[in-house]
Amino acid sequence: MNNHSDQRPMLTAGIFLGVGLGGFVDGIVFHQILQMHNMLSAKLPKTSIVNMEINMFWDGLFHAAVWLITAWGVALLWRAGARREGRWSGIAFTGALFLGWGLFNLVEGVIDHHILHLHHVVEQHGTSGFDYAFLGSAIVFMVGGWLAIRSGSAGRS
Amino acid sequence: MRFSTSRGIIQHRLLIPLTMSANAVAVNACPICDSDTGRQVRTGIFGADFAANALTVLAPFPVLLLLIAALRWALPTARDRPSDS
Repeated sequence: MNNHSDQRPMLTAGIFLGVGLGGFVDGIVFHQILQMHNMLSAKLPKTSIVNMEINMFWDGLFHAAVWLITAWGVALLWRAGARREGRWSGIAFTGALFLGWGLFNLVEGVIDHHILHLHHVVEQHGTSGFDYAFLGSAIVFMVGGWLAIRSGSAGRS
Repeated sequence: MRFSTSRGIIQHRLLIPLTMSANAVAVNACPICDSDTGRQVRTGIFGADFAANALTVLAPFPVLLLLIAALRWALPTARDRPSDS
């Protein structure tokens, strides 16, 4: 007898939400609270009010995209919740959130910090160990998330 | 006592316009502000680099969506798992 409990819709929603919330962590912590960098701060250094305002605009565009990903994740989670046959696991869902967060850090880190050089984690250092630590956090989150998904999928919930 | 009060008022009279002018500069520094700084901000955002900047800022997102789509097929499914009961 099979239980037809496909977890993929719930996990996909978790990954979307992880990407979105991970993006918000980046924007809120690094761009706004610590102000270590902004979206184009390697290209437009924060040395004048005009450059700061321009960077703020591009930070806003980035946040808008991250908001859309998060909203998409909420919609997917709603659809997953409406499925009768879905089996829910808090561990697996948390794992999906971390997998998404790690995915965000990996892609954003590689593209923005290392390929396009739009900004770096600590702008005043340029490419530095902090950029590699950011990628390291991505690997840790992704591996940890994947293991949690496997664990949550194997267990009862 | 009276001297210090009037001196305080004079200081306030000097400080208030200074504070207001400082605020005015800060308030006018935005992309939709009608000021020199506002115009410089608009030019900086919507100049020749606008499309290139927009593409580079948004570049990670299509890649993320592709990777999520790929991951979806790798996610474990318990569809054919024997039931617990």
